Amino acid sequence: MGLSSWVSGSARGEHPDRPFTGYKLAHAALSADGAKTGFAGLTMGAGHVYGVVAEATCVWNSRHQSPRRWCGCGFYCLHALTDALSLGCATENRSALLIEVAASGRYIRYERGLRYSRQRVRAIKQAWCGCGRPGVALADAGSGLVGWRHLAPACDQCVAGRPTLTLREFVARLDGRIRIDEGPDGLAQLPGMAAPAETTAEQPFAVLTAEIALLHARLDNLQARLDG
Amino acid sequence: MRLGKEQSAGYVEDTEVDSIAVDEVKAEITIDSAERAPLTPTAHPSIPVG
Repeated sequence: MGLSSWVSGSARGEHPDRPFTGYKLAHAALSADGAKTGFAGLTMGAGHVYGVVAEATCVWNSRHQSPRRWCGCGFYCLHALTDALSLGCATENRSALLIEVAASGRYIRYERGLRYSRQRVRAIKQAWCGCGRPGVALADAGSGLVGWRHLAPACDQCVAGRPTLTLREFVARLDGRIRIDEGPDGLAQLPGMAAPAETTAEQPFAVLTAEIALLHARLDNLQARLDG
Repeated sequence: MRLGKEQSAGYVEDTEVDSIAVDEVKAEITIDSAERAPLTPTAHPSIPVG
């Protein structure tokens, strides 16, 4: 199918000299035998697991190539990392990884992102545990597809006692090489939230001790009244 | 995922993959291996010519 059959308008047939950089969310997935890992989409692509390099196919109509203008098919990504971070705040997306991709092949460009036919995952940029700490490992998310378990990021404190796969082990089982970004815009603390101080864990005991002291004082006061 | 208003369309090659492939091919060619030497013409070709 030629390019002119599915695009129109003044921008028909753009030919950039390098692939686009995009950001998106995806669920980490582990094969049933534990030998392979991959990524699963969140919405339309939720029924498929893809590897480091993948070609888009339409889940509704295999007779046309993705992406088709009047169909919602194809890979999706956002131009800005901040938009992907915003998407990750939604309840249903909390257990997803934020990944950087190189988007290529046939594409339709929109204000905030792209729909495209070929994708190569470059890096895992964010993997937050449900508690808000950076995820260092991946644990069974309790959901999945036939042949694949979804994995959810977990921090070093929440993984205690649970079977997990470290991020590096996850990457090693992919069908290609990708980075794990641990820089300032990578696996960092949640924006606007500080790591807890070391004394925070002791605070509940301090409050309880103060409340018991107050109760004792009231009991002493009551006893004094009864005695008087 | 809401992407906003459509702006343009086109086609782009994944040039980063191609550059890796070229590097790997170069590495293959530079291997100093005796088994690869017969690719050069010999004094007694096995296929008669002329």
